[in-house]
Order: sequence, then C-alpha cells, then structure tokens
Amino acid sequence: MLLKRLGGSILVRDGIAVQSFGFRRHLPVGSPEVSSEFLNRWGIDEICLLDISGNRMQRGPDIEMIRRVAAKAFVPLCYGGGVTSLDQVRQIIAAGADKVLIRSKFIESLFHEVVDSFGAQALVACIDYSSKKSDIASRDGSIISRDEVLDYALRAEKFGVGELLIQSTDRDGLACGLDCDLIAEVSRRVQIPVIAMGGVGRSEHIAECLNMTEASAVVVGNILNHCEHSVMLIKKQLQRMGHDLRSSGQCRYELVPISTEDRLLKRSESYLDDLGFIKVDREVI
Amino acid sequence: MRIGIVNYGMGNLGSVQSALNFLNVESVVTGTPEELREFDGLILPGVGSFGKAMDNLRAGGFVEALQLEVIEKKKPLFAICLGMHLLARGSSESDGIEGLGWINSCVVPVADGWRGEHPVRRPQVGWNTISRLVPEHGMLSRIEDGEMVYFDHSFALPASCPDALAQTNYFGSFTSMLAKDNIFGAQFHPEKSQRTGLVMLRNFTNIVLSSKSAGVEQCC
Repeated sequence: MLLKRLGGSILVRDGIAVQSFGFRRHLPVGSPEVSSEFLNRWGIDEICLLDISGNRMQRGPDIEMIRRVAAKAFVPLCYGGGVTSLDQVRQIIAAGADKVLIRSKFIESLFHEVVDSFGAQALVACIDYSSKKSDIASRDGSIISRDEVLDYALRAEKFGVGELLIQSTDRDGLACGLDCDLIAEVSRRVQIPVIAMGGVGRSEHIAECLNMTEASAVVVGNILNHCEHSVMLIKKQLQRMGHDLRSSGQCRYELVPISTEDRLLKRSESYLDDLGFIKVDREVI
Repeated sequence: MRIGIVNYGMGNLGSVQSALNFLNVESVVTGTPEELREFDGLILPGVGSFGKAMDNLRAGGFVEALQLEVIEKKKPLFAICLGMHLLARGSSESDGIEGLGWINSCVVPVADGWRGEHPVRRPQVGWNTISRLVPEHGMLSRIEDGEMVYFDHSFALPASCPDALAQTNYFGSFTSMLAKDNIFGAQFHPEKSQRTGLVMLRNFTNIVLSSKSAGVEQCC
C-alpha cells in the first residue's frame, strides 16, 4: 500500500538553514547539510530544500549548496527557489535533487519544458497563498489569495505537473494547524498528489489533515528543529493516532511516554537507574 | 571495480552517484558510448518520458554500445525507473517507439486495470512495499518482504511481465523489480530508498564483483 508521506522542509536564507515565522522573521538553525543529514538519519520520507534568500531570483539556485545537501539525503529531495530556466533545472537535477519546485507565478512554457525533458514527476508546482490582503499586495504576484487557489491548482494539473504543494503563508510558523478545509477541497478536485504545508505545530495537526483530506503528504519545518529524533517521535505519535507512516529505522519508541508537544518525557527514576548501556553494532551495508 | 552511470541526458545522475559514493564504490558518469567497455558494471538511470529517452539513447549511439556490453559481453546492468522501462519492447507512454526489447513485455500505465469508483491518483509518488517473487535471488539478499522503497512514476511493467523479481501493489499489482541473467531492473529509486535501497545497490555491486572475478578466471 502506498503510504502518506511526512516531508521535512529545510529553509535556507543566505546559506544558513532557518526557521520561519509568517514569511517574515527568521531564526537561524545551522548549516543546511547538517539538517539534511539528520532528517535522513531520523527517517524523514522526503526533504524539501527551499531557498528563501532575498537575492535568489537574481543569482539563481545555489548549485553547490544543493550538491552538499543532496549528498546527505538518501530520500527524495525537492529543491525550490529562484528557478526560472530549463538549464537551471538540469543543473539542479544533476546536483542530486529529484524534483524542482516552481512557485505561484506560473511560467507556462517552463512547465512544459521541464515536463518534456524530465517527466512530470520532476516538477512540483507550489502555490503560496494568504488570506491577508497586505501579504498579497506586498509580494508582487508570488502570493495569491485563498479564493484563487483552486483555480491555480486546476491550471497546474492541466499543465501536467507531477505534484502540487499548497502553502498558507499566513499560518507559516504560527503552529496553529493546517488549512484543512482548503486542502480537502483542492485534493478532492485534482488527481495529482497534493502536499500540504504551513502551520504544523505538533503531530495532532498532521493527523487532523490526514483525517480530513486526501492530501498525499504533509511537510513540516519548524517543529523538526531543536528536538532530538523529532521525525521518529512525530511518526510514533501519528502511529498512536492510527496513521501508520513508514517506520523510521529499527527504533520503535514502543514504551516511551511522549508529550503532546512530541517531546520525550522523562522516565521514572527506577527505570533510569536500571538502565545500562548496551553496545549495538553499526550495520555495514 | 568501476561502475559506469550512463548519461543520455535523462537521469537523476547526481543522486545515483552519491549513493555509490556512500557505498565506497568508484563510479563515473559517462556520456560517451565508447567508454562503456571500460566499466565492470553499468547503471542506466532515467527520469522523463519513454519516447524522449529512447530518442536520446539512439542519438547518442548508446543502443549498439549497450547491446555489445550487456547482451554480448554479459556485463551486469542495473536499470532504474524509466531505465527499466527501456528494457521492454515498448511503452504505451510513447506509442510506436521501440524499446531495447530485452524483456518481453510492454510498459502500461500504473493501476491500468483499476475499475474502482474513485479515479487513481497518478503519478504514484511515495513509499510502497515490495513482495519478493524470488526471495533467494542475489539482488534481494538481506531484503525482506514488506520493506519500503520510494516510487515516483506513472507507468510500469505489468504483473504478467516475465522475469519479475518483485511486485508492488498500487490499485493492482505491477512488476517493481526484474532480473534476467545479467540484467536487473527496479521501478523504484534505490538511491532514494534509504537503507533498503542502499542494500540493493550493494547487492548489485556484489554481483558485479563476482562476475568480474569469474571473468578473470575464464581468461586464465
């Protein structure tokens, strides 16, 4: 059976991985290749590497950075940010990415070229939308209004893109949950996989989206940082809520108490007292 | 041992090479057919459309070179995703275009036989399980039934394909791995399937190694 996916986003601003709040404020996390290495090790299903540097449109994609991140990712890697030509797509895929993401302001000819040369599965159309008029006005067309999302989605499907990522910019970083109503409507109307992003603050939000919508994947960002084994803890929590995602390696977290914020709780003193260290040999592949 | 990654302008070459780097296997991305004879094993990656891929293979002179190395000299070949489709006689993705014809089957849309109420979402993107048909095969060493691998495709070889090694179910079964003598194919992306995929690539390079030493013995 095809499983739903949990994707992890790595937002990069001027070469540094950041957490994002409302598409405006950013907190540094560290180097993008370290994020990629850890997400891969913790069993993420897919990585979205998104360059949000202010000058990305002028300088184009940072191919070297993509190469460094891709070398650590043995899961599918989707790159987005500053992609405007087929030649850039070729370089991005040669650097080790599997898909490119192209944003709202659809460049129809580029879509056709990418699908023709690399196949539909290599192209993800990204729709960033907001309910706030001020956001839409300030980004000269790259953010659309919530009412237009379905139109854009249907157009993107007609252009032959492989997947559709819809992201609510006004929920970004708020940890308030996904815009499930809209995701449900879009995923019902299109026949290509829909990826939902923007607003996940804990695993319950992902479960809500998987319950209410036909979305194929949910991408999370901020909640992956500053927490050891975050991916495995989230997947374990989702499993407890009845959503079996791909298990992240051998570790099962079967008996471990986890808080609603997806953090490991402290074990009892007697348990910790009994706990010894057992040597586990590393598997040689 | 050196592995040649065939570059005919359609592959996700970087990710295949970085997986081989992880396994400490020397690999070279090559765009020249004459170079294929220098390698001990070949990988034929591929993303894109069948017709364009065959056009590129032909235009680049790879069809004859692959025929010589793989069919006549019996060099191990691992064909991935679209690369696996190219082994077939043809594909309904690009009618009228002939494939390499090494596998006696034709590529059809995934979930072709589905007659359910809801239309099927295509492409199939994501992690799905494999069921082994020939569990003792060298390519499946250290792989169990039900292990998950990453798929991203709209077309596939049907379940009825001869030489199938493993199957996967997406609104109906299709062939997700095949093996015929020295030719191996995977519909999924082993280079993107974490441990399971890396183990398969290691199994392939082990097969390359043993075929290489067998070749040396014959010479002596």
